[in-house]
Amino acid sequence: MTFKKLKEISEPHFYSIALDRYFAKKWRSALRKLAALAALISFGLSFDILPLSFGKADGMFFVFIFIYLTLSFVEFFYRSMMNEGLTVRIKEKMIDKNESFDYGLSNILYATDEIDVTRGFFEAKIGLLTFLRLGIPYENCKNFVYSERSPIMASALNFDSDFVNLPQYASTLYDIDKSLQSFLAQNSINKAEFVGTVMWVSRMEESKQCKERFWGRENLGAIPSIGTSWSYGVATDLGKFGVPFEYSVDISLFDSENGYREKEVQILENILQRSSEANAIIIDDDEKVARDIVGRLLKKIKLGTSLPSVEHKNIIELDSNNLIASFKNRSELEAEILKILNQSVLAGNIILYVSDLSGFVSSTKNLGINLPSLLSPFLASDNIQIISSATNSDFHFIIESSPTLLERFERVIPDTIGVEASVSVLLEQVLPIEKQYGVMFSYPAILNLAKSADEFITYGEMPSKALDMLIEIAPWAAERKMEVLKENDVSVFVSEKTGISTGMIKEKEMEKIEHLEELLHKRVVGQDEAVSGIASAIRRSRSGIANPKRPISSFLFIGPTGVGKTEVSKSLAESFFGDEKKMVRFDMSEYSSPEALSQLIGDFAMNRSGLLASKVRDNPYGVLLLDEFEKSAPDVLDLFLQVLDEGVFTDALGRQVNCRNLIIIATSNAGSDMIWETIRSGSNLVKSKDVIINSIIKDKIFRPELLNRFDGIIFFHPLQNNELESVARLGLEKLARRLKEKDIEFVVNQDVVDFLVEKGSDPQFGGRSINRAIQNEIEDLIARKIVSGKAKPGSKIEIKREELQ
Amino acid sequence: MSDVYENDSFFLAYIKWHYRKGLRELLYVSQNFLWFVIHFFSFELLIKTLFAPWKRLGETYEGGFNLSAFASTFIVNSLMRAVGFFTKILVLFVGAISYIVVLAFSICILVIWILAPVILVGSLVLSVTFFVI
Repeated sequence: MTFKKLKEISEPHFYSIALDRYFAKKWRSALRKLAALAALISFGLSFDILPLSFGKADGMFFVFIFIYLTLSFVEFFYRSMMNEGLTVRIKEKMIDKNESFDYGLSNILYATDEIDVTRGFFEAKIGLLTFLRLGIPYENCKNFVYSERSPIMASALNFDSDFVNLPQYASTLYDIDKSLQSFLAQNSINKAEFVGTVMWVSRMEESKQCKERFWGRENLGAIPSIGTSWSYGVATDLGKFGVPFEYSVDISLFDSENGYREKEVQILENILQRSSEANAIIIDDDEKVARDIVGRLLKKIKLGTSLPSVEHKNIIELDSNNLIASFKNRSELEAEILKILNQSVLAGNIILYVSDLSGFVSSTKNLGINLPSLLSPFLASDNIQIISSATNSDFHFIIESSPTLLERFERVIPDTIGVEASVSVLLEQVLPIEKQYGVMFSYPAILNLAKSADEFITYGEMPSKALDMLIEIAPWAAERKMEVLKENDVSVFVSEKTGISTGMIKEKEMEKIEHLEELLHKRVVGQDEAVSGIASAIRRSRSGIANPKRPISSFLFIGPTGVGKTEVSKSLAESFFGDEKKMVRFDMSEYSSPEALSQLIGDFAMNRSGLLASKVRDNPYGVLLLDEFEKSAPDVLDLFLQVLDEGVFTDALGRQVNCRNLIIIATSNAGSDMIWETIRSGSNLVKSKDVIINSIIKDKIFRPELLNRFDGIIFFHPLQNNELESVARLGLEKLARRLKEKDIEFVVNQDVVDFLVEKGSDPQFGGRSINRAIQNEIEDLIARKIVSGKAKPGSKIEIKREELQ
Repeated sequence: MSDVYENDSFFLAYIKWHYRKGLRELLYVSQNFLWFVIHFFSFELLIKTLFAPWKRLGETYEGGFNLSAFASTFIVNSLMRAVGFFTKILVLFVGAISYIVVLAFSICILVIWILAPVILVGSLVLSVTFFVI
């Protein structure tokens, strides 16, 4: 299809658009109302018997009637032309669905001349709205559109299909216009974001247009009828403990057109359609998912598009907590439950929603009631429909152990929702939030929000965590007086919330990452290979090219004790997460027994949560340090095989634990002897790396597949004399700082340093023995001086060689 | 199939529309409103359940032969049915009147629509006459 042909098809719309342009809608409407009023008044004044009557009132009346009727006819014409080709939910004869074409697109076509298609796009209201929703300021757009650029002629536009809507038009325009591409790229917007924004904006405009058609069946049918409940009964007791579902879930925002959860709602509807045992249980760890699905079913019922078995029905949520709390006595509670169920059956138009069925079952069990057998006859009958929800573990624990419930409830297992589907939910919910806080969300910001929530929020499921973030970010943006929330603002918010730097790398941070080696070296002496290996892995992760479905980075540090393995981990926590305390440490030698795995991931039978699971859940962003990794039990090593590969593991209670925002460091002194040998014989450690790794594999300390899972195996060599000297100096400077607080100056001289290096060159303990020597020898000496009064506040201490043994 | 306008001027396009698509749409809109009245007053459901007891209220007949219990239940149930019947009839009656009003209104508009040129020109002529006299 060509541009010319497209313009021909859109012609009916042009009459409405032209009318709007030359005679704005609000003026038309005001004039029409005025004419009606004037006609009425002049009609009144035309009667001779009235005191205010005057001779020309009759003539005036007919003039105003003429104006009123003309404007009304024009308005009908305007509406009719405008709604040509509109897509409506409930089919109507006056709108030919086969011929749908886009009023938004027609607006653009009308504004477009033959010479510059891109300018036409920008000059239409909908085009301008698109740029606003892309988060590009108006001034920038204007500068681009009216700048020197090679314009795209209308004749260059050719479309593949016979049916072209606004998003397709925008996509073609993007492909052809290179200057538009580079302008959008400057604002970090790609094609998918551009077309997605157009789609969103055009959907919003279309739904506005649909809402204005008050005479359409869609809007007339949504007005609730009277008398539909009269032929059904009243459940008085359910009234006390039941809440109409629409009170707890706002169904007005649900967009029944975007296909979200359509499959689940259909499955649910089909279950409820059955002649008997029409009960469903929605199994998901997030109860909101179940509520969302039930809410969408209710929306369908209210719209009148549901299957006959649920038509005119009310979904009532049973407040089981309140019910149980209201009755202390077993028999009373039992009687009340039966009463509620009987009344629901009698009423005939009730779908009962019981959230957390397993909770209800177990709390009634505590009172000695066997709920499954109480419910059983009702569940089996054809007179009642019950929807309930349960988490995965509760379902396995409680429902599966009760054959009655298992048999009577059909399972609905909702699909896990990815980033893309979450975006459509966010788009549903964002408009009222925008209104509430006076902040406008750009489309790329919403995309980023969904992506960040998926990647960085470790608790909860999608799309709930994205929706939670949407609700949190709006007041945050309002506080900062943002008018438009842009993509990068979301990254800033996520960084503030989680402590992880995301989004565009800022100048200050860029410098930090570029000089990460130097930063690490401030605390770590020597170990150049280790430090540069770590720094480059971090750079990979921060530049966004790392795999988001794995931990940020994972390393196996191999080397003898006291060579700085822990110090590197600490300084990594400090430089990457801003605090050395952002570190969870496990001494894996404690997890070498056969029970180790259940200690770490929990115990299903004892319903106990695991240490690793709970610690990672509490500190989802930071360094996970696994000391003496080689001592872990074999099944613990297998667990880490999965963690390193997928970045998640499932604890004993069936909950997923997200490790994707962790830097995992395992340390081991396996192969230290060989490292010593290598260093002693003067060969290069880097070159002998493979030999040492092979010997570790040969000795069956680590399996090769585990070693391969690490981003890097980093060797720490034993400290040389000059490095030991630096360690000694670092330690002494720390001590000097402490003494300074007591107003005593401690002079670090070569004598002391040499003494410490001598003491510290114990191959067994490395740098650690220097720290011990500082503690045992130097600190002890200074303490004596202070106690004996030789060193007073304001004095200077210098230790001579003779004083040291 | 929608009408073809072929670059007609606004006025010409309007004239074409008024007696073709415009008229058709007017009929559809009237139909929609009549459908709405039927839907709003739940005609179908109320007629179907005209004799059903009000909100399913009533007593169940006990087994055994107990004339007074039977009679009391019978009276209560009949009363409930009667309440239902009268309320529903009342609503149906209001509904029917609304239907007739909407229908009459639609016919009025239809007449105005068809006679539009006459009415418009007529009102102009009349106003001039009044001003001149």
